Amino acid sequence: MTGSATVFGQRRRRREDAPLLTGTARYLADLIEPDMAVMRVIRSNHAHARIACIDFATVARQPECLGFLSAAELPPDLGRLPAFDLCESSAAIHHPVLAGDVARYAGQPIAIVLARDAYTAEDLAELVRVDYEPLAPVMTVDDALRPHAPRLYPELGSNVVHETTQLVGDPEFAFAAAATGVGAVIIEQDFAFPRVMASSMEMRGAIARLEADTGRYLVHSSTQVPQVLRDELARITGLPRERLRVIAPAIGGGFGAKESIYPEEVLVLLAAMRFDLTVCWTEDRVESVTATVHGREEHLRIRAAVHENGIVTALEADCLADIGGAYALLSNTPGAAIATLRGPYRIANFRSRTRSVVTNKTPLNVYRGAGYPQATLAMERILDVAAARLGLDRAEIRRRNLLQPEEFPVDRGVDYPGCPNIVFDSGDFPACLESTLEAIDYTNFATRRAAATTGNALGIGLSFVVEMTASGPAEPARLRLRADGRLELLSGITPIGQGSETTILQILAAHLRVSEDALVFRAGDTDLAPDAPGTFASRGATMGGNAAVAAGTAFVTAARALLAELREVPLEHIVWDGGLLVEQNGHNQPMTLQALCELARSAGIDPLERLDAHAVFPDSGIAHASGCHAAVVSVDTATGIVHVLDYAVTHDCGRVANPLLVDGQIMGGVVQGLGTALFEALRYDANGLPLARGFAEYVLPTAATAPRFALRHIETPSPLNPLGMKGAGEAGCTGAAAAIVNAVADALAPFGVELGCGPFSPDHVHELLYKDPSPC
Amino acid sequence: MASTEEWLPLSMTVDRRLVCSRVRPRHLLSDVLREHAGATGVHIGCGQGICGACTVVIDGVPARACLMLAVQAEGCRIQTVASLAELEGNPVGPEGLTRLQTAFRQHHALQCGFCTPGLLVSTAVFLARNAAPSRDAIVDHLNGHLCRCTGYANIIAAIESLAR
Amino acid sequence: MAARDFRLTPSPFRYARPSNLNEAVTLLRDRHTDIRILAGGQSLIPLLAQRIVRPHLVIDINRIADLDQIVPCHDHIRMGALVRQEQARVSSVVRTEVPGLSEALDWVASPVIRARGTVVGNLVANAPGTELPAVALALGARFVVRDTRGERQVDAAELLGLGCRLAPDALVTQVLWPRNPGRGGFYEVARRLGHAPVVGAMVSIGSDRCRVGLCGVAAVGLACPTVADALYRRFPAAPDLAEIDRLLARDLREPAFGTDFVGAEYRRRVAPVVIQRALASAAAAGAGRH
Repeated sequence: MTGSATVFGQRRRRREDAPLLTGTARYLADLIEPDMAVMRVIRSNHAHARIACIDFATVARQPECLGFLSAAELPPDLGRLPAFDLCESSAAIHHPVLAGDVARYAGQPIAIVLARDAYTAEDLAELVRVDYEPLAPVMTVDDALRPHAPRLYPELGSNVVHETTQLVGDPEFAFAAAATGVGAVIIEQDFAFPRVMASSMEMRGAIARLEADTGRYLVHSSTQVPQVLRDELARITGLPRERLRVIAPAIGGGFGAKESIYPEEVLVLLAAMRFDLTVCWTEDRVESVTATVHGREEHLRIRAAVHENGIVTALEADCLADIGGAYALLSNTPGAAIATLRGPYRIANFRSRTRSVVTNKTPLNVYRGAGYPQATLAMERILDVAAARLGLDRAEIRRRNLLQPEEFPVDRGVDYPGCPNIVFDSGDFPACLESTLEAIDYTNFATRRAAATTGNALGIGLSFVVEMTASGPAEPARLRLRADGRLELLSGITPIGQGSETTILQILAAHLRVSEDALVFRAGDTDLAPDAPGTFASRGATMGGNAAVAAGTAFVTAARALLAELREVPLEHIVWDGGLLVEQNGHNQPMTLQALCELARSAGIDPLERLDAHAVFPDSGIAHASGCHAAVVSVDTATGIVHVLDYAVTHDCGRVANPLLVDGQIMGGVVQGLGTALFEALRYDANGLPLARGFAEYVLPTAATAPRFALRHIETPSPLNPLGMKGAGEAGCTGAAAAIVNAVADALAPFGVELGCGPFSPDHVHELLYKDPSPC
Repeated sequence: MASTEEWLPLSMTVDRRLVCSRVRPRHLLSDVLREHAGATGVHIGCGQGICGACTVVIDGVPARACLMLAVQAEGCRIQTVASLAELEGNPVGPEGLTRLQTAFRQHHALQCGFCTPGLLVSTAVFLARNAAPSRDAIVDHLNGHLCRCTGYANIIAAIESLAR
Repeated sequence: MAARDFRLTPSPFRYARPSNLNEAVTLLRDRHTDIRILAGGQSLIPLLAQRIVRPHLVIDINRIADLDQIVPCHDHIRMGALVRQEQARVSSVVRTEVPGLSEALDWVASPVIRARGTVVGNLVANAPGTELPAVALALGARFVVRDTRGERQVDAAELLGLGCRLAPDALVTQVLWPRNPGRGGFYEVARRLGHAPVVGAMVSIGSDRCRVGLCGVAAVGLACPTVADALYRRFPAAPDLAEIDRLLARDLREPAFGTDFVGAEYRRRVAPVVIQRALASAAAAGAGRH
């Protein structure tokens, strides 16, 4: 039982690996049984249309049809999908589970059919006839803002559904000063970030069944937020919370896309209730292109005033986010972008505005990094452009603008939904910068560039990430003794592949000084953790770990108290020592928990009831992780192909519980960011249908994309939580596209090209290189 | 309608077990392996033959199960990740993992694990045919597998550690 | 792209698994409008699964004997309809006698797809921008086509040219590659290494002539005889990019081809580079060549 505190910080291999490696882990699709009814969703194939008629006559005649539903057949008091908008100023629009009279995006659920198997369900779906009256689709933010643009929600009078602003200092004055100042420059740049898809390898799915013995509905879903889902299902359907149980099975990746509450999750439950069947649904990849939320699409216009010494005196940003036709979290992506835009740089004068605009596309929600990748790219690009204009080295301009360690904590003067005051808690930005410059061999880069073979242009790019992590709400945890003698942690952190079990139990084992073998991790089940926020925003390890520690402390107190009671001594006489209870000044041997249980039972006390501790780790404020990224790319100028050769990251996520897993998160995030920088963009055709059916059209990174990595850590513990930890899940993704863009810009600088934000596909690079220059 | 479709008998060996069932001609092997043979280690990541998560070995040749009709497997010997020890040609270790699985675990070459079984099957065959592959050869082999979590670096390292 | 809400399950069809060619062609004579041949399945199954094609009958030819042979004949290499891409790729007789083909196969798809996909199947599918049809056109391959009336040989251009297709009651049983030992090279650019080809070029330098094939600049593969002749005359010296570009302009007869993802302009501009690199690859090809 006894372990060591030093397990915190070790490169522990994962406990969760064996079932994954042997193929015996049970993901959602593995829970499907032959007697389940399979649900198939009929989806709008128009971006914007009135739904004139849904004709089930033919399908209703088929003996294989077990049921069908459209909006007309749903209970009239059925709730709508949640909009977790954290801003009071936003338009109150809530989306229906099934489209009623209007479809607002291609892929929007219109109806469902049920059959015994997926093949038949698809056959039946084809027999459902939907008559549409097409409406003019609004496919871009520009279209949506035009004075006479169709209103997606006529009752709102506008397609702008949310707006927030930030103001720090006196940017007006600073810009005016720069305009008249000698040697100062004003830089303006527009960035059009494309739509991307999270593209987890496991798609979504859900199962709903009535448990005969309890009368409760059990819903399984591939979701990052089972507790939130349970509450929302209760609200929408009117079922009491107690009659619902939600379980998240093994999940094959989420990246934020499985954080929304989706129509299909409600529909399996509604169908189960209506038709008295166990109903299952799994997404296919073609469906997923329109059915699962997208990420990132926004237009960011930046203006910066830069003194001739490189100091950025003012920054101004205007952000327009294309959030699609319906929304679950309409302010998060752009709100995060404008709050964090200045990154690690002092920039005393700042103003920004963000607006969320509805268009006839799939709803937009968060995807790994939410708005930070866009903000980071914009800020880092501005710095490189300024450096070039002023004749400064790119590292030097950053040095001059970075906040210094002695300035911490730094109140940034901006707010974010749920966080009225963004304060950088800890960090050492200069150390991250110097470390990364060393890791990428920055001082020798000029030599390396000169030695590149003809036709290959080398470039180097830097980026700096400051990331909000470890957010609230408060995180519960429960630690209890099992009959088999092990300690069971019931966690609210639903694992989605990042190794939460290993990380959190390492933390707990270190805190209790017990062996990890003495611990059991259970999560993803509302019966075990009834109220928990879920897994998102790089909060899992920090909040889950601190909550586990709090539960561990409470457990230890409970165990000491029980023995103190049995021995009739004060609590202070009992000490916990690595799983053993030691009586000070006593004549008894250190007692194991097992022996404690026997003693308790002999006194007529049920030890398992007493050795069951609940704790809640409060929302302690946002812990800011940070890091400096550097990339070296080689551009084959004849073909436009970009190779990423080297990638260095120095990352600071406070105290690191498991560096092996944190490195894994960073590398995985970086390669996702490379995907965004080089390949990934989901475009729509003129009719409002996406130009992709899957991975043949939407190109994902492969092993050939992976660069040589140099990863380093700096630890500036966060003062906001006892463990001093910060999150790491999104950092790789946040900095990668920015570093790549800067590196490509550097490689192409001799050619005098102006870059946007990518993706830098070969044809796009080629176009930059060889299109006719505009007349000066 | 579907009810007039024919049923065809299907008899195949899956991970050394004889599986006899009946299928429609249009049933894909990926679905039938999962549903009739209980081979849930065959994962469907795209259904379009691109991601590689459904890779199995059929009569010694690696194949995408989502790009085959189940009826084509009549009389065939199919190995999934459950047969990995056999595919690698050596027994499992004391922890119940093969050499390849152990290397993956050691190198943290998996996160959510969804792409992993298909990747392991394909890699076992690759290593059986290429005992000492170069990094380029490994990258080329991995071209047929998508992983969204790891960024591939640890997967390459895990395979390189076995390439002697 | 057409609107669709298909899951990835095929629509219903009948299935036949003939054990010989006569049976197969007899089945093809059936008047149903849509019959598909299933060989490797790597091209067909995705179309079935997405219900893009909805045949009444699928004829599985995988159990027909003697279609999986690569046989050297006096002036050609005969490749049966069931010869897998990987099998052809590693065949030493193909590498020596049909330079350019093995090199192209190095770039086709990925190892597991090649293990089942067939050379003939890939050719007959003739998907726009893919490698093998361009190679077949450039090398002057011929197909053996069988129907109930018998067997005949057909030039690649008759099957793989713009607007051409195989008659619905016919089956390709063999592809014949002219023997022309020498050096071969292939080079391709894609949106990502290993993704579908955007533009690819094959250069095959034999003892008596050179052949150049190009995929991705037209909807079908392109033989480039003007480029090929110039390369042959100059070999081992290579013409510069500008000259390859001028020569290519004379071979380009088909309308410019672009997709929603990569437009025609890039394809046309990068084609000379791709040809140049395929040539360099051929020039560097190993020992044992003429």
